[in-house]
Amino acid sequence: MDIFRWRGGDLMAVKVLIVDDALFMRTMMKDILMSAGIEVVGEASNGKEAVEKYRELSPDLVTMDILMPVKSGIDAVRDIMALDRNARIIICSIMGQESLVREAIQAGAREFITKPFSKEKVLDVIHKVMNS
Amino acid sequence: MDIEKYKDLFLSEAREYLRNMNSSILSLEKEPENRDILDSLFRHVHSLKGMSASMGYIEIQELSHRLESYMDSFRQGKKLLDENAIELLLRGVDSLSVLVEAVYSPLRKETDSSARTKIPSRGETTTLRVRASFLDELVDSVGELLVAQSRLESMLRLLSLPLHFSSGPDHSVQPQREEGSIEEAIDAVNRQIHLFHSKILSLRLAPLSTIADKYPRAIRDFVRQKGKQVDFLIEGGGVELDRRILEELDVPILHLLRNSVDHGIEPPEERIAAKKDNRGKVVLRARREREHVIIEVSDDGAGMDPEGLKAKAVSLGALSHEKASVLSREDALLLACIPGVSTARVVSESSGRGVGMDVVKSKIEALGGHLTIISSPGQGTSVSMIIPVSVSIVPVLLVTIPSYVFGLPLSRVEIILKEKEVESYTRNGDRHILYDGEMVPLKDLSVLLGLSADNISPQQGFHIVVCDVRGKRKALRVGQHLSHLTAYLRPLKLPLNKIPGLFGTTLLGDGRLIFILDPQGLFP
Repeated sequence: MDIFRWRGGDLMAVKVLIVDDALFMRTMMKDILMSAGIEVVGEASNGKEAVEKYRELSPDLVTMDILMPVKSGIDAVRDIMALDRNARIIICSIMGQESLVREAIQAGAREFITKPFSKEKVLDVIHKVMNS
Repeated sequence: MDIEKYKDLFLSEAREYLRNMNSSILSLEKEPENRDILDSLFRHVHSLKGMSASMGYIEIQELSHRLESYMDSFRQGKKLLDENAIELLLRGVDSLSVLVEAVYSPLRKETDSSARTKIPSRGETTTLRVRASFLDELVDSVGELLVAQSRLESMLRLLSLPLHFSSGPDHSVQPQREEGSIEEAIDAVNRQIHLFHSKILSLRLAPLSTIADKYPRAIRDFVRQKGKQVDFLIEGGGVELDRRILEELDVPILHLLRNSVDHGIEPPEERIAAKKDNRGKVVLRARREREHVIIEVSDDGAGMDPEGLKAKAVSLGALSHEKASVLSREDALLLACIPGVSTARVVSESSGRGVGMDVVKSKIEALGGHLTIISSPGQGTSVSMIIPVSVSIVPVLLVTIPSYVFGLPLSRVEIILKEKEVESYTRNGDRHILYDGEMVPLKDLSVLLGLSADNISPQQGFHIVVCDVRGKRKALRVGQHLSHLTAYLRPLKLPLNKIPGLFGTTLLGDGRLIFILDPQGLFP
């Protein structure tokens, strides 16, 4: 099992909230994280739920889809940043969403990953964000 | 990453998105300027793109991407969503469906998403997907538990141990003996098994919408093909039924809907001439009534002509003149379910109604349900399917004819009478009893089953069981009635399932296998 170092600890101590409207994408992300020993503390299927779960669970990290019903990922980033200026949010995007990614980063997201995800890519980005 | 293991999840969720896309486009057809619908359509396509990219399904990803780009011009208000655009979007979704389904072919496995039940749990986002066959196994094993439990009860009875279930009036005066604890233990097991059983059955329930969501699209295309103008509505899509029953209902419902469009709804010019709205209306409506679900397909079309149906049935030799003259209006409409009669030119100048209604009727009856038709010429037709919510556990009444025991579903039994206390008459050569001010046709169960019944001793006496058969009373003459029990119904297999009047089998507590009869099949 890959263990990533993070401020003297390792990524196994990182609690993640997964936000995506597709169960398929959440499942895939969860499997990637759990195979690296990372704890998934919660899942949300839209931006509104994401903000509620963030408040409730105080995760160390959020993976955030952009296009979702009820409230978009970008609006959720804004709301979460207003709750917690130090929130670590990674945007999950797909090709063709460059301008939306830029908007999300301006709103406070730290990084982005592009679908399709590979385990290496996801863990790399998480490592980078947790050490920043 | 092992992509294969995500295939099932991909397919079931992709199908969900495709259904949503279809219904969004149909809504856009009615409200082309509704931005919210357009956005949600875009999101569904986008989600499918993300999923297919993750699975490495490049074609699906590419086509989704193109659909997204095509939609962009409408989202930016550069173009108007006209009829051509709607058609193109629908074709796009059709092509996506073909690509998605091709994910599994040529090796399509049994566990596709239509055979899956998504079980909502309390948390909004937490859903658990369970293999459908696993649920079936659980239902089967709980059924076997019920049988084993009832055997245990009858063994205790053989040991002459008094059994007092629940709180019988003399329960409190029974001295507390060692056997008492056995009774209580069995009582507790009994309660638990029934609780367990009802919970498991409820897991297998799925809303009608799981099959009905695809109808609006299918009906839209059919309506266009037939050159009609029809508004189609679904009411009660949330009504739940056993998934096994739902699967069986898909074809009959679609058939009835197509009938309504094809043979019920008149062409626009005819409707205008008849001072009706030029757009016809077809409604699929479901509601729950105790242990039954009533699914109704109605239209405001041309209606059916019972006299025409009678005449056609008589000319085909399916009905005698005498019977035809006394046939009620409702029964006359059901003649449409006889092959040949259904295709008669009885509705309008153009065509008859209900090719294949016989198939619909037999399918519904095989599920333990029945069909009713209400129709008036010029006003429209409504076909109702009355179906049990779940079929595998049935309370039955045990009846005998000497040396045989049979079960009758309790839901069909109205009352049990002693023969000697009943007035009976012969009318037109058929025997009837007078019950509740009504002449009820009487048949001897042993004669219906071709068994001899002459050695019932007078002391035992005969009994009359009044049954409900498609909403009508019919009386069955039986020997004794024993008791009733909750039977775990084992479905019949070929060739026994072809015999009308046999519903299934069950095991009695003493290990005897008995047939459960279907009064509907006994009185065709």
